[in-house]
Formats: sequence, structure tokens, C-alpha cells
Amino acid sequence: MLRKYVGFVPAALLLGGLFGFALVVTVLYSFWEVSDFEVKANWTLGNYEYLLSVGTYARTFGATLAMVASATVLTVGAAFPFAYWLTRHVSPRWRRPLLVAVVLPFFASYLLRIYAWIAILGQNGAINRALQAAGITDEPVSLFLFNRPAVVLVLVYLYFPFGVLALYVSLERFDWSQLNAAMDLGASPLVALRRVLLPQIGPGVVTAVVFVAIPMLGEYVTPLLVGGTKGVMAGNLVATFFDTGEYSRGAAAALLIAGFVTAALVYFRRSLDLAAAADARH
Amino acid sequence: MHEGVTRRTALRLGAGGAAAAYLAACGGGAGGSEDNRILFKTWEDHYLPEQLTEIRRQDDIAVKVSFIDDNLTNLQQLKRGGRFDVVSADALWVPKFRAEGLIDTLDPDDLSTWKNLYPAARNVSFWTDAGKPTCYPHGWSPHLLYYNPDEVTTPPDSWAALLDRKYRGKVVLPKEPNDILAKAGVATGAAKPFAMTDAELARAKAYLTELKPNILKLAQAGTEEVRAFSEGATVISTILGFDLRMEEAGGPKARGVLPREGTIAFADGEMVVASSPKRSLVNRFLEADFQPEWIAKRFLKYPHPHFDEKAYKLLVDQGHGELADRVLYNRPELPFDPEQVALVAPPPNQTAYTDAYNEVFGA
Repeated sequence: MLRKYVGFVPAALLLGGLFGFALVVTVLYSFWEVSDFEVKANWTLGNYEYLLSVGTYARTFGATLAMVASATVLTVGAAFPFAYWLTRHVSPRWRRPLLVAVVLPFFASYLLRIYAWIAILGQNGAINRALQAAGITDEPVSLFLFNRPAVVLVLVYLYFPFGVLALYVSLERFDWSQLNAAMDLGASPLVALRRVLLPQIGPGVVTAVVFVAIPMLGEYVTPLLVGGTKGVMAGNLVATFFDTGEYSRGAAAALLIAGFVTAALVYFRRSLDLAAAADARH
Repeated sequence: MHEGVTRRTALRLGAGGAAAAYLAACGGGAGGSEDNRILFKTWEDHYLPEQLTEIRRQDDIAVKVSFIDDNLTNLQQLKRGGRFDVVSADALWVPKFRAEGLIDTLDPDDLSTWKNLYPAARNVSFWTDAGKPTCYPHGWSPHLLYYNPDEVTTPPDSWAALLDRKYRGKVVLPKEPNDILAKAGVATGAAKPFAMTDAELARAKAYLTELKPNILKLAQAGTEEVRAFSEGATVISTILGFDLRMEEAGGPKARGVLPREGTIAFADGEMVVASSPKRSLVNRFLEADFQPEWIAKRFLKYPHPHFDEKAYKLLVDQGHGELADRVLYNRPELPFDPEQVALVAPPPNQTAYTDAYNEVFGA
């Protein structure tokens, strides 16, 4: 009887021992106080009250959501046509090398990839040089770096492979003859995509959105390096709490973000279930 | 903020150079038996890898170095039983280590190099307990305002000058929340910039809010500061030697000025860990570490002032007097003058400092 659970043991130990334990500690810390750089088990709601009462945190979270939403739309928007092209128009022999090429940036350090963008977007970077060489500008333009668009751009670049892989897995399983059938019956290619393809790869799109958006919500290195004072994300404020020994405030802030992510995941899951139920009724 | 602090951040960010230095240090000093091994937790400007090799060869002391993340992490690691023999710390963090019972006092009579220190560094009140020093003074550096003379015609010689809208998006500050708040405290006349009252903190926050549009970015590491200065910033508030680092990097020129209102500074020293069972070995190591010849070499690699007067004289004899004076090596009293300098300290109201910082630099 117990034998069937043996395979579950490593994951349970790993998740229970590492994730579960850390989560419990984080929850406890969020309701405790820090005094003289030490967490003291004095119960309080003060950390949550502070975070929910000071407008900066809501504004920063709003700005974070806006940046993440923009970056997710752009990432999935760029990943979808690529994954579509890969599954539809590339011979199976070439798909694998192209997929490897997509994940190739993972072989370079995360920081190096961000620094590469600083070199591209900076005053002495490739864009400025090209603009000057083309005679469009006389001197370097400082518009491309240390702002929110720079953060969004680098996030799109960093998370594009996640979007491609999630969508590719979904598109690869799709029966393309259905699309052809829809068009044979008079549907335009766009209508066929919208009414036949998208409903069937919905879970893949949601997976891509989840894979891309959730890690972005916790980003703090990218905004730190390319965001300047204008491109701060919620993760930066959380990091400051921990850097300065304010573990309780940091834990509460992290849990508020985690709570939002969980709620968003539940919402996505429900909408998928509802869509599946609607399909089943039809 | 400390040169090592910015460099340790580079380390945390995976900078290869720092990692290489660490490996070199391990390679040069690690090994040896337990009896002759010193565990030294410090910043990278506190030793040279070749110096550790020499100490091993000459004094038969194997030094294993590990880097400090920051003063707070350093303190917490030691409190949780971190096994070290010698640990470095900044200014008013040293009394905190002492109050926690983590460090022992030193006996100057046991250290032949102690007499080489400037008199100003030998009897520092906050580095003394029951008449004995609590650390071996190492070095210091104020935060200057460095500016690009090709872009800035009137030198910004005060914190107030940074508020001028002509510096919009042109100012860089090192990303150290307490240091930033303390600088704002100096700018707004706080009595103790690292221990501001609520009213002083409110004024410092108002100053930073006004300054924020002028800040291009909060630079994370030494190399990030250099990069930001090359990416359009024209003023940066950082420790001594930034002009030399820019020169080395081939970037825009930088010239430093001490702000009129005063500034903040680090001043650090090596502390003997109370739980270390190797007291006599530690003393031998400190003597070997603070040989003026090595201090002079360290100075030439990381040019900020040290507290060792004999090393200063050696540098002058070697023809480096101008450089030494340029970085205030001949002003050992300056870091201990509270009218001009606020030394790095743990704020007693850290929560208020962190909240203020986040409220300014959040969206």
C-alpha cells in the first residue's frame, strides 16, 4: 500500500524540508518584530499595517504589475509566432537545433546577459552609435537606459525562452488538420487561429504566462541594474528590508506578493476549468 | 560605505575579478595545520594575496580569508557561532561587537607595530574599553563628491548643490540605504546622521525626495559606479580613489571635493574574536599584517588613507607623497572630527531608516 508513495518521498522531503520550512519561518517572521537587528517573537500585525497603509508600497506594486504585464504580453506575443513557425513550417530535423538556440542564452550568466543590454542601451552603446552613425542624433541619447522601458525590454529578453518552450510543447501536440478543416469550411486564417487553435492551446498559453510573469514579479536584479531610480520594482523594496536586517517587514512584503501570485494562479486555474466546462457543454 | 563593501557587492553579483582574488587568497594562505591557521574575515583591501604567501613563508601562519558581506551580516554570523580568529568591522560597529561580547580587547604592549599608528588612532574613545583598544585601526575614507570637470563648470561642493535641477538624472549614489540617509542627514544638519531623531529623519527624507529626480541610479558595486559615471552621470558621491578608478577605466575625468556641510566616512579595524583559542598566533599575525611595507603596497593598490604613520612616511620616501596627501593620508584626525565627518554606525532605529529609504525610492 505504502509502496506507491515511495516516488513521492524525495519531492516531499525537498519541498517539505526546504520550501515548507522556509515558508513557515517567513509567515512567523511576518507576525514578529525586529529589535536590535534580531527577530523577536513578539506577535504583531504592525508589519502588514505599515505596508498596507503607506502608499509607496501599493504604488510600487502597481508599477511592478504594469511592467510585468507589459513584459509578459510582449514576451508571449513574440514567443507565439516563433513557436508557431517552428512547429508549422520548420522540418523536424531543424526544430531541435533551433530550440537549442533559443535556450542557448541560459548557458551565459544571468548577470552577463543583463550587462550585455547595458552595453547595447548605454550612452556608448550599440543603439546610440548606430543613431549617430546614421546621422539621426548628434550626441548620445540617454533615453534607453535607467527607466521602466529598459526594465521591460530586458525582462522580455530574459524570459523569452520560457515563453517559447511552454508554447512549443502545446503547439507541437495540436492537430493541424483541424486548422486546415476550419479554413476549408470558409474561416479566414485569423478566425481559424482564434476559434480553433487558441481554445485548444489555452493551457499552453496560460502556462507560458505563468512561467514568464511569476518569476518577473520577484525580479530585483534587472531593475537594480537597468532601472535606475525610475524602474524600481517591488522586489527591490523587499530586498532592502532584508539587506538592512528588517526581516519581519521583508517577510510580510514577500508574503503579500506571494498571496497575490497565489490568487492570480487560482483565478487562471478557475478560468481554464470554466473554459473546459463550456467546451464540454458545446 | 567601505571600498570593501562595494567590492563585496561585486562579489555577490558574481564579478569574476573578486572571485579570482578570493581564490588567490585561499590558494595563497589556506592549508597548514589547525594550529597555525588563522581564519580572517575581512574586506579585500585589507590584505594582498602575495602578502599572505609571504606571511606563510616567513611566519609560518596560514591565513584563510573569507569576505565580509556587510557589517550586519558579519555581526550576525559571529553571534551564531561563526568560527573566525580575526574579523574586520567599520567604525561604530566595533563597539556593537564588543557589547555583544564577541571580541576581546588588544594589548598594545604585545604588538610591536602599534607604535607605528598615528597618535590620533591610538586612543579612539569608541574603540577603547576599560583602557584597552577593541580593534587594531586599519584605514578610513570619507565620501567625497566627485564630478566630471568637462561637464560641470562649478564644482558641487555641498550636498545642497546636488538639488540643482541642472543635475537632473546626473547624480549617482552608492546603494547603501543607511549611508544614503546619513548623507541626507549631513545635508540637513542632523546632529548624529547615523542616529537621527524622527524629526531629523523626516528632514533627511524630504531632502532625498527632492534629490530623487536628479539621481540617475543607485550604483550597486564599485564597477557599477564607474559604469554609471560613463553612462551620463556627472556627479557621484563615493569613497576616495574614484578619480583613480575612472582614470584606470579610461572613462570620463573625475575630480573630488569634500562637501562643505561635512560627510560620512568609514574607518575600520581588525578585531580579535573572543572565542578564538589562538591569541598569541593572532598577535603574531597582526604584527605581520601591519608591517609598514605591506600597508604601503596595499595603499598603492587601494588608495585610501591608513592609520599607520610609518607607512605614510615610507610612501613619501618612495615618491608617493603627493598621492598619499591627495587622498588625505596626512589627515588622520579628520575621521574623528564629528564636526566634519559622521562615521558609519548601526542606527539604533534601523526600522525607521529602512522605511524612510523605501518610501523615498519606491515608486
